[in-house]
Amino acid sequence: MKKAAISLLLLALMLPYVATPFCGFYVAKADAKLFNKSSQVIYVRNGIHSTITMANDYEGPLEDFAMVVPVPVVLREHEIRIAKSDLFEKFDSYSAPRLAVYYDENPCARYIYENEDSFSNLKSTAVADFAYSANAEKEYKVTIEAQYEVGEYDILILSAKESDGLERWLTDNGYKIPDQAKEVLTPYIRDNMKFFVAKVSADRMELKNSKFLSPIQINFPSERFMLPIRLGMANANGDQDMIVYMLTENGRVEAANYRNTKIPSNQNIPLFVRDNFSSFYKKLFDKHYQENQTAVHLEYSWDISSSNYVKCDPCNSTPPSAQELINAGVNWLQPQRNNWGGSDYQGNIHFTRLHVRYNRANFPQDLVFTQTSNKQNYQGRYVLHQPAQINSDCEQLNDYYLMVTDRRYDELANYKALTGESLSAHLNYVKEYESKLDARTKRNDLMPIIFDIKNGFPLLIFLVSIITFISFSIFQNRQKQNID
Amino acid sequence: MDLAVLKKQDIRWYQILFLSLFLCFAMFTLDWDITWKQIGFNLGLALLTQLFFIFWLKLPDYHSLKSAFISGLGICLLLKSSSPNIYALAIIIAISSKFLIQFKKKHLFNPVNLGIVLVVFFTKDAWISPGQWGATSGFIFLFGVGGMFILYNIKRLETAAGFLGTLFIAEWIYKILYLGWELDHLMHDFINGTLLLFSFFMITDPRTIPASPKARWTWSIAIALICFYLKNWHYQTDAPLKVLLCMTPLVPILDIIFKQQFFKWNSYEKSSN
Repeated sequence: MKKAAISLLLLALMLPYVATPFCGFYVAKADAKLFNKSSQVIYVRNGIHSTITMANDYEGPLEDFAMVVPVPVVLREHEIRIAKSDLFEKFDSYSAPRLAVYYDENPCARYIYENEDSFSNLKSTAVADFAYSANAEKEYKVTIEAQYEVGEYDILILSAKESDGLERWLTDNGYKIPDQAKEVLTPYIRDNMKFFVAKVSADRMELKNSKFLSPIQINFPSERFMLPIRLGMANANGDQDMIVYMLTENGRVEAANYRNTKIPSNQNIPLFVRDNFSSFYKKLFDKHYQENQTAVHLEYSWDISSSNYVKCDPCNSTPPSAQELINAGVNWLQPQRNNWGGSDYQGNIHFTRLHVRYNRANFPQDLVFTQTSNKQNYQGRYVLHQPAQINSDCEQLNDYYLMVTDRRYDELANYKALTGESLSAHLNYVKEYESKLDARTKRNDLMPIIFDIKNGFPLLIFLVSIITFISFSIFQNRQKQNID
Repeated sequence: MDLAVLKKQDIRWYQILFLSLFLCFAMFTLDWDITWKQIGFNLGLALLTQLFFIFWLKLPDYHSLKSAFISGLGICLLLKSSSPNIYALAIIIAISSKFLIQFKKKHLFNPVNLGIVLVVFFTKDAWISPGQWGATSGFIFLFGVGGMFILYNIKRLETAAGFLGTLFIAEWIYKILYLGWELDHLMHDFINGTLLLFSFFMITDPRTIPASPKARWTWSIAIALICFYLKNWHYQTDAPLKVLLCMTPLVPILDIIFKQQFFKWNSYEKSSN
């Protein structure tokens, strides 16, 4: 960018929720209150091959940790592994909605160039020891298809004949099933799904010498391109958030059975957002969600193929490297030693970040995805304009102040449209520059802000329909007269 | 509305009205990538292609321009691409197929269906978004009212009923009776705009489906069952379009078995497509 210097404020993840693995549910022995509010998943899809990595930031009664995830096939040992937890931080920071700051050129001098640091928030996780016994499957009609020790986890792959048996097996082995989960066990069992059950081994956790639980990565061949969210709704209080990082060869991933929206982007917003961008984005997302409750929201979509030199614009962090992509389960790229053309790999790959806020009422079905050949780039990007520091006087100054004032009107209008926040607390934001204007160019009303064009859309649709129909009727009458 | 007047009318005007309404509704309320400019281009190109064939084949009148306009709207509603060339290709394939691929002087393929499936299959920049309409009651109402009004008037309501009914019964037996999902899990599929648009405006195109009512029942039930199988066992999200295309060569066979006069859009139409 020639005229402006860009600096970034990195938005961290959506916030202080308790994060959890996606579609499964946590179960506790005691009646402890469990929350299953937000989760992150990396989903790599290649042909009929899926590699799913589930972030594990379990924060609950630690000794009771256990998770249950429906999977379409019996996983073999080499299909389950521990992934590096920094993958999520990397993918999150790379694809998170971003704030770009442009600096005005001083109308009387040159512009100033500056960079800001980015920040990202990390969440701490804790660990639980949990021992279980897996006998007595006969009377429960539950089959232990496989049993593995992977990293700090003890993993079972269960198949069941009936939900009662599975439920009793889980209860008798120390898992407490949330009531709503029982209802969806039957459809999964009948649909021939297996159950991936993981607990933490106390001994191996000690050996690991870290209190963080590792993300679990599973990969399997299946024509199903989906995430089973219904089971995960079991112990949720209200809405749950999930961020899915999709890596595919051809293009953007969309939800096939829910509507897709893009989060509002590329708008000028007021400078005061800089200090609380996280809270701004949260409000923006909340408002967007309120208007699109049954949709899946696109936050980022970028062609990161080796042939595309621009891997992000502006960049929150360095784009994923070959090693990180391989760690996530991408197996079709050829790593290269030299970082030629901005990538240390050869091949096509597309990065999609989807944000789903789901609840039982709006999301009756599991999420089904489809890979499109849409390579268009998209990002949540919000632009700040830092006015120039004026130390001297010059002819152009009044024009400049007028431009800044008008821009700030627009920024406030955008701010209101994006977040739904009242502007009464921010009127000084405009007045600051308005007061510097010559008397004859001064503006004295806030009309541009009060009229929100978006509210006019339903009316517009109505008018268009009416006009179309009336003209159609006239046409019809004429034709009728002709025929008669 | 006075039905006597309607009988003298070409029902395609209503088809244009409804499809345009859907498109306006989608453009204003949904997050679609297609631009108004692209829509204008698509519709213009559809008309031009049709005009080209009208002049080339020296057709007696211009009534078939309405069909071309409907095909243009259909492509705007269903096909996704980031390139104007792809839209152009789809439209040219769609309109030309009506004149170039004929069986007994009747075009074989549903033009929109053929255009879309071919570009999605053979180019790298075209796709379909099955979730683009979402599952919103406003659309169901619009699609339902608009679709049924038209199908009632062209007497093809049973084709939509056969398709949707069979699919619903099959899904109900499988999802609710066998798997044990709740009713809203099942209904979510049937309030999907893409499925309704397909049922009311594509599978029921009177010119490219079998002519006799019996054959149409057989035809729509068969398509529904194949879609049901592909959706639930092979997890295909865009099964209906593909199935319709693959089943189209069966239409002449069904027409030979069940003999019936071919459909004409209106009484004064002679040989338009």
